[in-house]
Order: sequence, then C-alpha cells, then structure tokens
Amino acid sequence: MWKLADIEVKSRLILGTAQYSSPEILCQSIVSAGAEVVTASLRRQHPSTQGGQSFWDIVKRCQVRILPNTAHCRSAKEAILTAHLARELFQTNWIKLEVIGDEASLAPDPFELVEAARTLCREGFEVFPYTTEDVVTAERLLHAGCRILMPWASPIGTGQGLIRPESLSQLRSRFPQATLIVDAGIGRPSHAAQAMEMGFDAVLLNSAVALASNSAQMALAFAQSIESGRRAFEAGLMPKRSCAMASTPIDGHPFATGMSS
Amino acid sequence: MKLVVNGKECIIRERHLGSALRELSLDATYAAVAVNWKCVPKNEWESLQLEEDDRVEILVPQAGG
Repeated sequence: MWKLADIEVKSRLILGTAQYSSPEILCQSIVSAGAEVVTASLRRQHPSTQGGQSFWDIVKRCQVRILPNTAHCRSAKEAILTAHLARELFQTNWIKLEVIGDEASLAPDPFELVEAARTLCREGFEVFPYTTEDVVTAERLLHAGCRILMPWASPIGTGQGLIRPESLSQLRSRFPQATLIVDAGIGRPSHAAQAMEMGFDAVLLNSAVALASNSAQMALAFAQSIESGRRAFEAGLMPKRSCAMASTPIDGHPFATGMSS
Repeated sequence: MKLVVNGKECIIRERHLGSALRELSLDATYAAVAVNWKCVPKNEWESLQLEEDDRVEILVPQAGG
C-alpha cells in the first residue's frame, strides 16, 4: 500500500477512461489493471445525450475513485471554473490540473498553471498538475501548495516514452518529498517500468491501453511492469559502470598469470 | 428572456435556474452548472434568479484522460 494524497491505495497505475472501443472494454481494462483511480472529464450537456448517466454507471460499477481533469482549458480562469464544477459534479477535491499552452505539442502553460494551482490549493483542492520536467515550474507548483507533480514523459498521446529521462530523474532527486507521477506520452509497459525504476510514485496513462488491440491484456501488462519497476527501485539498482568488470571472482583461477585480463 | 446556454443563444420564460433547466428539457441529474463563470451548487438552482444575457454552462461527466 502507498499513500496518494492521504488515501491508501495499492495500485500505482492511474488509468484514463477515454478512447476505449466500448464501455465494457473500459470496465474490463480497469479491472484487469487493478486500477483504483481513474481520470474523468466534463463536457457540455446536449439534449441528445443521456446527460452523463452512462459514464456514471460505469464508474459506479467499477468502484473506483475519480480524478477529474481540466482537459482543454487554456487559461487559469477556465481551469479554476472547471475545477469548481468538477468538485460539484464528482464530489471530490481532487483535480488533475491541465492548462494547455501550445496546441501543437499540448504542452502546459506554466504561468497559467501555477496561477491556477495557487488559487485551487488555497481553496482546499488536492491539485495534480500536469506539467513538464522543468525544475523551476515544479518548484513553483510545490510552493503554490501542490504535493503532487505530474510531469509528462513526452507529449500527450504520442506514446514516445521518456524522451528526457535524465531530466525526469533529476526531478525525482530534487524533490524527494513530492509525489511524482509520470503523466502522458507513455506508449509501452517498458516506458512505465523505466519511470518506476527511477523512483516515480505512479504512472498515469490512457491511450496506450485504450488503443491496444486487446485493452484488458495491455492494462495487465502495464500493471505488472509498474509493479516490477517499483520493486526494482525499492531493491536498489546497481550503478552503471563505464568499464567491464567480471562477475566471476578471479582469485584461484587455475591459469592465472598474475596479469589482469 | 435571452440566455446563452452552452454557447448558444436561447429564449426561455422561466426566471429561476432550476425551472429554466426543466424548460430546456435538459437532463440535469448528473450535471454541474455555472452561471456567468461561477459554479452554482445544486441546492441553489431553484433559488437562483437568472438575468437577461446570462451565460449558463451545463456540464456532465464524460470519459477523459
């Protein structure tokens, strides 16, 4: 068990709920992943839809905690209002704070993000900010009251994995007390394992599972890789060496000449 | 009275938010509502009086990443 914003959870995989081929496949994937937290969004009500009931039914059936997001918001003002509406709708003070600053890369706007985070933290929200690996932004977010940071691995939906692993690793080293969750850009279970081996606390992903040929199977693969990566981190990975070093002891080797080889 | 509901202009007779939502035939069972950039808690829907040109946003849950 570990603590995510004061809540004890077992799984270190937070699953996005979009893009699944059917609600049934989504449910199967949540169960298969053993996910206890899933993300959700808000959209404008339209007379032709069921008013969101179908999504509620899925969430209730899976008995998971909801992490609402502020997807597609482009200013602190939009994100703050969306967070207020999400709190009203989902009855949670958790908010995945997304403030997009660039349409092409879907990179966050650090200025609007920090401003929104400051306001929402002051209002009692538990803010999960979607950010980059930038250390200064991370520092500002923590100073604004965030206890959790969610740096991207690579741009949303690209599946490129950790494109700047050194920077992510430095982020982990710089902020040992913060809960760090890699969010966005994870395409393969090995990417998730890599993040977990660095000491990240959890992984949030969506497309890699939703767009797999067999989503439930992929969800399980991710859950196992995340658990494996975490176990490796806790076990203590050996340091990298630049030179080869024999693992079999040389002492007592019958043909030793005294020369090293 | 003219309102802008979810980005579209519409004319309604009702003056209060709760009754306006019913007049619009929107299923608001699982909805959150903002009026003029302010979230309105559900327990205030019936008492909140709307004004001409108010901007009403009605949001429902959906899947998201």
